[in-house]
Amino acid sequence: MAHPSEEEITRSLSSLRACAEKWSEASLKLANAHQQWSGYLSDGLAFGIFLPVGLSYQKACNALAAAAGQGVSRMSDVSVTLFDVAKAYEQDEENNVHLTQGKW
Amino acid sequence: MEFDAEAFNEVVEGIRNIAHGILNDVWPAMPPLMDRFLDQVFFQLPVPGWVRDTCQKALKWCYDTFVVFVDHIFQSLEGALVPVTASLRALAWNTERQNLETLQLDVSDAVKDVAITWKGSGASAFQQHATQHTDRLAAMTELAGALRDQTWITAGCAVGFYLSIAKIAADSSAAAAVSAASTAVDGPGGPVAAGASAAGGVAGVFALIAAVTTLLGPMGAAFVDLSDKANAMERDWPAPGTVDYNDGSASDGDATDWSTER
Repeated sequence: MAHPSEEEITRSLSSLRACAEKWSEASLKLANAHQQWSGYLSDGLAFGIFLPVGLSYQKACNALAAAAGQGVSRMSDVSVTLFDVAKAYEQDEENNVHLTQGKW
Repeated sequence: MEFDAEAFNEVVEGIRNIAHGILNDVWPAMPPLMDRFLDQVFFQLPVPGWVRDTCQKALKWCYDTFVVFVDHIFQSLEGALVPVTASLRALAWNTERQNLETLQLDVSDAVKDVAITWKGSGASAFQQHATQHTDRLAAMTELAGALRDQTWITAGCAVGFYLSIAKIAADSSAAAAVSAASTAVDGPGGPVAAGASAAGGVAGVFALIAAVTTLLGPMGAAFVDLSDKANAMERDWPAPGTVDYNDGSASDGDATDWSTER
């Protein structure tokens, strides 16, 4: 099996870390969304005669905010894991583990 | 534009209290006035009990109806900014929907890039789990869009309501002005007819409020449906499943390794 070139390994690790960054970014954006949706998007309104609709609107905002909040921790977990995977693979490559195990 | 709802509500509540105070002060004087009126109508004759009771009941009904009307007016006043605030919220939800869509596409693209350069059981497991998450982001984008649409509908309904109120007020006050300026001889009938025009306006407002109230149920139900879907999304957000792809190391010999393209 052909040994991947250094360039190929660098490119692979780079795309894995870029993906991890993207998941981290997604987690942060969802955290921001969680704050906004349960904050200014649902508060600060006087509904008057439209009160029943207003209360339902606020309920929907808060429910969507809660869903975003749930996504924050899950996506952050994925990001951390991908960074760990890249680091572990890089270390194995530096220690020639793949080569000695006959992976290539 | 951020709106200080608390300050606005405080002002409206203050005016409402003043109005209710006036109504409460005026009411005790009204039944005796009715009695005196009846005494004068019947001259020196005794007023039949049933006439007095009926008139007093009619007076109380008029008073109660007017109090309800005043409450409706204040509720309408409290919601007077809904057309503006709901429109602004709808625009904000449109932005949120666009942000979510961009986010979902960005994450999906990054996941696809990884699929090009990585193979192995760990990489495959990651692709499967990642797809569940990006699907969830797509569903959230859809919900944000639905929330935007429903908020637009609320804004539109509020605009229609206040335009109708304005039209009723303009029509009835114009008709009352014409009636008040005329007499029974040269016009529709003077102050009595003016009062009738105003009463027609009040009835119109009542009818409009009743019509809007019937719309509030379905509009509220649509938001409740959205919140139910969001609650389900919160409960079922996919687990990261990291145990299936958390091992970048080939040295431990487990089946979750990642391999670069070669």
